[in-house]
Amino acid sequence: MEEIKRLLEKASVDYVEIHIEEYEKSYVDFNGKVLKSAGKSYGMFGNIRAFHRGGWGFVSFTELKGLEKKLREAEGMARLTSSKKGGLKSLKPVKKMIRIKLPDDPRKFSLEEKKQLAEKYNKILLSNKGVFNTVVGYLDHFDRRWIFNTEGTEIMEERIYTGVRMTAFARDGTNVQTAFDSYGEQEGFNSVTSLEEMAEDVAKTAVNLLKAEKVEGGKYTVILDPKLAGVFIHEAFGHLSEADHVFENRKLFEIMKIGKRFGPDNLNVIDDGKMYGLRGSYHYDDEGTPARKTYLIKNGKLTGRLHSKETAYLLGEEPTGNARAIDYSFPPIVRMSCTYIDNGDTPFEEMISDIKKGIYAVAAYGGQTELEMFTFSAARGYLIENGKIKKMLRDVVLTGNVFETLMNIEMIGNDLQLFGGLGGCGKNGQAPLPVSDGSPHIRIKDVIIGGEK
Amino acid sequence: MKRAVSTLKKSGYSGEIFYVEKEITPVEFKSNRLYAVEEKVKSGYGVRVFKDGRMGFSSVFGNNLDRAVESAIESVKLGVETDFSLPSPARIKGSLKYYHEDTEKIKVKEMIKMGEELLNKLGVLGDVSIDISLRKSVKRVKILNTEGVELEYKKTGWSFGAVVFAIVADSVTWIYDFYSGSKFVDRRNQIERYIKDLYRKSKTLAKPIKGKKDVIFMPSALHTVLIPISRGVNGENVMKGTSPLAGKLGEKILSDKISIIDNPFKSWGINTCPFDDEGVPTRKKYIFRNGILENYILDLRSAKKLGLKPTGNGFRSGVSLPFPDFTNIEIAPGDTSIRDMISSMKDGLIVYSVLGAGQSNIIAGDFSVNASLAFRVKNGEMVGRVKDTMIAGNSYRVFKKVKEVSKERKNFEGMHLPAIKFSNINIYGDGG
Repeated sequence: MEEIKRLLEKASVDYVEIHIEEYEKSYVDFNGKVLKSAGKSYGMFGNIRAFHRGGWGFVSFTELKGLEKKLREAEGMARLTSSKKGGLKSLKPVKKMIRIKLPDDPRKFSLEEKKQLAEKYNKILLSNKGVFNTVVGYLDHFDRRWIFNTEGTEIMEERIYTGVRMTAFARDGTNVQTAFDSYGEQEGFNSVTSLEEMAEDVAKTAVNLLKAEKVEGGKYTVILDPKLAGVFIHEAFGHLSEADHVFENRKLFEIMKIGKRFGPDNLNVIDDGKMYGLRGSYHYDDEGTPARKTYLIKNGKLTGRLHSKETAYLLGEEPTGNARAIDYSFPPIVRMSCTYIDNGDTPFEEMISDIKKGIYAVAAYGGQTELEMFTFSAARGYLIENGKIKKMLRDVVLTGNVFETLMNIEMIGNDLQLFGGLGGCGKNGQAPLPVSDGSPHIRIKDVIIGGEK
Repeated sequence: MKRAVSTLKKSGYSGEIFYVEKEITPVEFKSNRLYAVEEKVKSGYGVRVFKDGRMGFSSVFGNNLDRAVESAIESVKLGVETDFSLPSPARIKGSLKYYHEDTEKIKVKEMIKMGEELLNKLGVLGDVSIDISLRKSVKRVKILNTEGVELEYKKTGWSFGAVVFAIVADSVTWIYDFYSGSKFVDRRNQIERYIKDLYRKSKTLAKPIKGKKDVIFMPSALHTVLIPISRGVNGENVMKGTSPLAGKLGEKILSDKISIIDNPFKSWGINTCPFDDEGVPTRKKYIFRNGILENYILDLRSAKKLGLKPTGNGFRSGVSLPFPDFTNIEIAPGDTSIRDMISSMKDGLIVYSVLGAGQSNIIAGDFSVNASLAFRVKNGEMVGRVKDTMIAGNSYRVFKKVKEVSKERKNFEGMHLPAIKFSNINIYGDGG
């Protein structure tokens, strides 16, 4: 590491960052009754990122030799792309070492113990009648990252992610349905040892989906559960708060005016990297900026956005500690951390009571957005009739314009939950980035739902 | 690597060392300006070790092969049961076109120049935001196993694409075009023409459309209905029994107008290669021939489980364990021109891009997407763009109701696809 510090002294452009990362992962995967894989993987990634008058150069590697040549290459690329525009917000240098101290650090447990754990959940899934296949995975991921830059920052931060995911497949003739759930946070091994209830729920949901009817396409009042509402706020709104999008897109820049109304008075949307322990948290982002809590929407009005050092400079705002890379074969870009809709005060019972015909949409299969347009697939839904939850529905896909949809939020619950899991967020080819998202139950009017019927 | 293989052999294991090195050089233009030039180099090893019907695996990015071998041997004890064996040396097809020296040597400055020229050409559209991406890559693969396989190849990659974002007729509009192959091709003119044409067409809005109608999926949107089918023929899902196509080899599944080919021999295809990541020679094959299911996509493991021959489709993501995957997907052309497909349409949609593909119950074949760039066709004429329109259905059912397949085909993200007209697809356009 001394060599890297000396190398930085030789930098000849405006700014240079050197990133080095080591990782170690253990994993176990069951597929039906069969253990599909179990093992460990290791590795290192590194990169040199150079900035010169608005232009970036980036060289990544998996071997630490010839660093000075790589520095010169990165500098050459930065000069090639430089223009007079642009700059970086500089920060006070940080010197910090953050080590993990977990009594139940998963690295202390044998692969055999991890296998037995996954096997336990797999057996629960398979013991349910109607479940004919499963995918159950255990994963722990230890990560140690070093950040050095020409401002004098030297940070080493360790993180560990532990999680379990499970999928059940149920079949009735040619009708095949799946259900999925996962748990994954920055916690130790004991956090994933009592998920029996989750396994039971996954199995039952897959079996029940066999009898669920396909939803009828149309416009509905919809209640989103905390998981789906979390995915919605992350995908449909959170990405628009990423200042690189805002800066690059003039239309979005005009829409995302600080102070503009985006939702009802009781709507508060927050990104908070300091929720330590949650999957999306960290002490320092990959430019060495401390994580912090940022209100994106406060009392229904736009109050902030997410920044890297570059976007903060370009928009004349403060860095928020949201420059992140999935690993150091990639440069940091503006990303979310733990993103959520804050609690309102409507209990679920009250939310549902006056709905004549609506849909309760639960959990998420996935989602995609293109600026203000979004689509989301709920993992399942329920018909709401005269204030009561009725039959289960499948293939519930919601679509719409995010700004209209936010304005159409009628009620916000008081049961906020955040979710991590083992997946993550994708942007510019970097996926999955560990994030958390969540919300209380929310009720939205006039949501378009697609259907085959 | 040779030393590691002989160490395995001496200790009574059979096994395989896979090495991959990939160097990617992207030149990225964002929001109408050159933004970044990068060079990403990644190399690593995947090690599989076998003993007494059990398998161990480990992988490493970087050069620590010894650690991966040690860790793979350790995990054999855990008992991942396997019944397949590693391949022995076999004849590998020569003369395939996947390495192009001039592509490897192309200079970053030339890439920047091409990007700038395309930027200027698209810039005449006025108030639009343009992203352009050009990237070249060089990949080296080596596989050694204890059965005597010693293979390696080097291939180049080239992709060139652009995304134009604009507000057209009060609607957010994204228009994109991406070409991928293994040889440098200057696509400036094609990309420019394609994007400008769609931009012009987007200026008129049509009335919302609802009900069961004919829909033409253009090559750039065909993945909407293709993803579920490609999952269905994937050996992993067939072996698990989750695919509705399990046990259906030789049966008529799709319309007889549809032939889908996996073609690893395609000249300068993005995924053209002589052998897969398990050392099995690749081969060109029909997956569906005139609607009849002829082959699955198989790696060693799924082939053995299904009692079939491996198809040379065991590929890896980086240094991961292998899994079955397509090489170059092609759909055979039909005999109707796209122009005629439109002029014979009474009332329906022509779809260029969608939001939300692959996010329904794909294994069952379902899709439900927002047609983010689609035009209404009435009495044989494209009358304008539609907004807020959902299209839903089931791939297995819609592929039985194919009306026409175009004779023109397009390279879209490395696939070679025609436009296809399906009948009776459910559309819900918001009438608000």
